[in-house]
Amino acid sequence: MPGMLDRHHFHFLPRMAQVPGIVLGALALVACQLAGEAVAHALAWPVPGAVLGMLMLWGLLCLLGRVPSGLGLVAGGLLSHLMLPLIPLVAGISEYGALLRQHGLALLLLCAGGAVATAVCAAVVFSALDRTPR
Amino acid sequence: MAAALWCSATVLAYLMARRLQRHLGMRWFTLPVVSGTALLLLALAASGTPYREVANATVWLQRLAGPAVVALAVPLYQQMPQWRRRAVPVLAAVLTSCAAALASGWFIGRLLDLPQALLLSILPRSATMPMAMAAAGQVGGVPALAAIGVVITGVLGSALVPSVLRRLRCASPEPMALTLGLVAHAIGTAKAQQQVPQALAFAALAMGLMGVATVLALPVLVHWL
Repeated sequence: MPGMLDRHHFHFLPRMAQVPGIVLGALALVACQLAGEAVAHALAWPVPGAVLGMLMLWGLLCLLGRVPSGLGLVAGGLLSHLMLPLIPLVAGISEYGALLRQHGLALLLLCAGGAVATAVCAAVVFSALDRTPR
Repeated sequence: MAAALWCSATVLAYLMARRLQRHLGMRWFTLPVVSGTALLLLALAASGTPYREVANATVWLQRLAGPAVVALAVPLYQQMPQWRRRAVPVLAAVLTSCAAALASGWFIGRLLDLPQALLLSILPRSATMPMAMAAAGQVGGVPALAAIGVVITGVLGSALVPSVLRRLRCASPEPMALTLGLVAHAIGTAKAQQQVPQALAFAALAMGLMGVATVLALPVLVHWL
């Protein structure tokens, strides 16, 4: 069939020239995560290594002054599917059915009350300190 | 074999969930993480597979959450020019509302007599989901229960925030977007995109910073209590 292998059918695939940058970008993400895990472990601080890795990458980007295009592509791809890797973990709620039935109303109350308290603090503090002319 | 089967089942459930969201619009039950999980649980029930088996089979898929969290640094860096002049009010709002979220969760949870593991899981509920789940796992909570807290807070929070702010007379675009991101993470950011698109960067920024602040503060709070 003519046209079946036309380039526009494969627009989701990266161009060959982008591949090295994408590999480097992916390696940078993994390296930051591993470095974050090493720091969390060394300090015996129970925080997820990925979050420390995120702060490290942020710092590196500030030093670099721009986002390398390969890193931008990998990050964009991962972030648009941020929820996919969480689905198997969230499915773990199937083991807590009884607990959730027993405390469901309390959870709703806690989340609603907590949301209002958090919103009031956020809005009042921001509005009190923000002197930027509109 | 089991790994390939359950990883593709998860991806399939996720793709179906995204399609459902495109057709039915933004509702709490069309969030890909809600309907995708429901579809996966349906497949589990239909095939009579115990959850443990699926959890073990999808370990590599779950590990992608780590690099995805690291990748959040990219949008946070790109949005810096939009909030640098307001760094002080933004950071002050993040720190106080992080303290408020953790403290209010702790007091209400104690008042309602929630069991410890459930309370620890629910405390980081205003952080974005991958961060909240990881943080809860680190301090003795259950990641799956943390996800429940995150979804409930996101849905209730993005419904409650606009009326709370109107009552406080702080409903201009910037505080609205910031508060939506702080309280209701990604769900609030989606709401900000609909309601105050001109200040969207504030919501995305607030979501990222709130996640970081919560994750760093949670172990301290748990240790101290």
